[in-house]
Amino acid sequence: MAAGGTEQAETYLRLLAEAELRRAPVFPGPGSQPHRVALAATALASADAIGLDTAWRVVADFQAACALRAGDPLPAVLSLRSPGWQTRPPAGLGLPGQLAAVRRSVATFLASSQRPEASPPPAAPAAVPIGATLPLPAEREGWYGELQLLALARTDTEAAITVATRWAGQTRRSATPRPRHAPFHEVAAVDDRGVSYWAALWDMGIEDGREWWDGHLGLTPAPPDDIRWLDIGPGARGRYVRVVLATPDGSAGLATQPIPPVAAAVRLLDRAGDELLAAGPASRAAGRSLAARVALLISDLTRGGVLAADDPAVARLLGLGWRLGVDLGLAADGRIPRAALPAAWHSMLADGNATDGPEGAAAFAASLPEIGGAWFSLAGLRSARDGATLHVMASGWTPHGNGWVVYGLGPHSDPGQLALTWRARDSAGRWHLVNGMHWGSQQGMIQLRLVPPLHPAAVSLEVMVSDGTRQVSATVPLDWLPPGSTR
Amino acid sequence: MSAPWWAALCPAESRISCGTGKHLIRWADGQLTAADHADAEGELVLAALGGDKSECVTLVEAWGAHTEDLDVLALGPRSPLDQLAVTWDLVRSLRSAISPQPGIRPGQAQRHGRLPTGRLRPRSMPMRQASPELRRAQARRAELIGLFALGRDFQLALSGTVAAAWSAGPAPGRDLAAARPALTGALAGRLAPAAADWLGIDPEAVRASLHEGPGWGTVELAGGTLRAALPVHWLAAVWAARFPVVGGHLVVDVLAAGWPQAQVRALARPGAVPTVLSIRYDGEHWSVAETD
Repeated sequence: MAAGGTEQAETYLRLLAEAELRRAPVFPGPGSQPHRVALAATALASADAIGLDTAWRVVADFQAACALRAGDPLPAVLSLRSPGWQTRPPAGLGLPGQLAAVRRSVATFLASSQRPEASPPPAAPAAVPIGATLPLPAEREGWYGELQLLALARTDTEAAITVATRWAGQTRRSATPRPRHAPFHEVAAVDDRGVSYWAALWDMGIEDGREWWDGHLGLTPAPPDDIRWLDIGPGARGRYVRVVLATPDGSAGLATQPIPPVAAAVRLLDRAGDELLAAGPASRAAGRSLAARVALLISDLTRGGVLAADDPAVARLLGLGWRLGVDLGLAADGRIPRAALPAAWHSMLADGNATDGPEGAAAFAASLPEIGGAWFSLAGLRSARDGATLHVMASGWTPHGNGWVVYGLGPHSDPGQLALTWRARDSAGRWHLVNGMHWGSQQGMIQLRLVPPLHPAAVSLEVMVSDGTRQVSATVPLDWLPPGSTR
Repeated sequence: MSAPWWAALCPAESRISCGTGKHLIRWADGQLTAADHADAEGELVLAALGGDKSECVTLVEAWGAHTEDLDVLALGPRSPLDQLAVTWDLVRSLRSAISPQPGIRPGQAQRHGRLPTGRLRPRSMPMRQASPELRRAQARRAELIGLFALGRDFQLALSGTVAAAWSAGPAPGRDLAAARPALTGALAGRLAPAAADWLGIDPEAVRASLHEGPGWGTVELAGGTLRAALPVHWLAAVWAARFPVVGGHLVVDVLAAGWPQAQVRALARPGAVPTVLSIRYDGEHWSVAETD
């Protein structure tokens, strides 16, 4: 709830809409550059300063007013279609999950013309580590690759094996350069009963000649619970890798703890700080620099009466901006005491530009307890000198809209980030934030890009997810799987 | 007794297609009438019983349905430069687009080889089935846009009607507390361009708020920012009558009026004691006739 009350916040939003209508009666429309009123409405709704219906109403009024001035009355009528959250709360979710879902929905509505689709009640995923390398047969010009199989993650209906793949060598002398695309060799899975599963590579990224590609093998259909193992292959010389499904998933490192309650607006600003550190102030968000977007967020929350200009959360962000040399549009001095900034931010400020990450893949699996109405299984990681890619299977967390739509603050199109905060800390004490989140398949697989890189001496990683009321975490081992080896 | 809010508003007339002819719609003395329908109320009763309803009567009925509709202020004009680009062709196209035509897909002819009445549904129109509630809301919005198509005089009259209703105090169905942000926005959106014109300042330097106590309110300039607290009634009696600024004065209240003249209370500058002015409409704009 806004400190100044919902009336003050709505009044601010409506006055902003009036100013925008005076300034630019033709709005650019939803998409990657949401208009100013939508951004403010998103901020105020996400901060619980105004109801979602009010946010929707003001945005719809503004868009309708613009449409009437542009001689196109149809949008003035179509904007009356209310977002899906009003009629379809997700089934089976507790209050935090419902809040998360409606926040996702309002972000989807405000930033996109698409409606969120109904999703079935989520089922908790499970994961098992694999940690094996499948050599692949030679392809073009004798180049052959290898597939590092990290972990199997699955629910009742979906299953995926996370992988890292690269070109490992060439069978004959040739002047041809290494292919710029990822190795592609069709494999399948066969279980202990002789049942076959199609294994399709997903999320391999673009053809850019990189050293490693991260992705997953989506298994169709999902294997049943009661099988004992799966053979994945064939690779080079008809070789298979066996995945034993009874392998423990490392759940010993799980923890759930309450966290001191803070206002949603405070979480928003703290997350903005995370994003400034993870993505950099010059990165793009909602059609502008991230620093400019954060400045708007601060402006909306303070002028909307949600937070006082001298609120500690504002001061923290101001202090961070001062340390980063970024103008966040505040008149106050950002030289605040060091202790006012969280440890994660100090770590990021100290090591944000590090390029000393170990190169390798770690095959681990851990299923986090339910958080924000969603379940996540950690399913392996690949570390590089400049960062790490963490594989996650999500259930009850459905990405909405198109990947190019920019929600919230960051450069990544993750509406879920409005509800959940991801952080990690390695055993050497280095903190890591998410600077990119990617998904692209029906299996619910997500790739989280962690920065800065893991500390060279780190032997484990604690992954933390919080929803504002609780934090769940799992500590996973970083046993590096060398290329070409089998565990 | 003070003048009714509409006393200084210019009567408005417009001819619209109705049946096979062009009929006159008139707004005067706070009322919209279908001048060519001698028994509009009787027609409404017949329509309620299943008879045909003429376009004129439909408009009169729609006007009555929107006299407290805050959407009028959210969508309607803010200043003389702020023009709504709404035409009857667009309204007809809009009605066609949102009217449910069960069993007819876009581009598909009706039986007997006849095309559906009106235009084909635009391609951008989502074909997902709308809920009855949404259809009602869309029809209501289209109805309002149809009223806007009557022209600027009618837009101002309808805006004034809504503002007058909300300034009249509590009534069933009117939650003033819930409407306060929308009313504040409506006031600010209309006062800012007028006050900016009055003082030669940026409209963004105008801070408007609702005055809900006795008297006409306050207008102060400090640090380059104009802070004005005016009642919702100002929108009806002053802004809708098109004389927020006359002769270098900001009009804050109407004391007496009878189109085309009015006696008003106005400020020569922020913070000043209001002056009583007699103003008159000369066919193009309002000007000061005399100062008391």
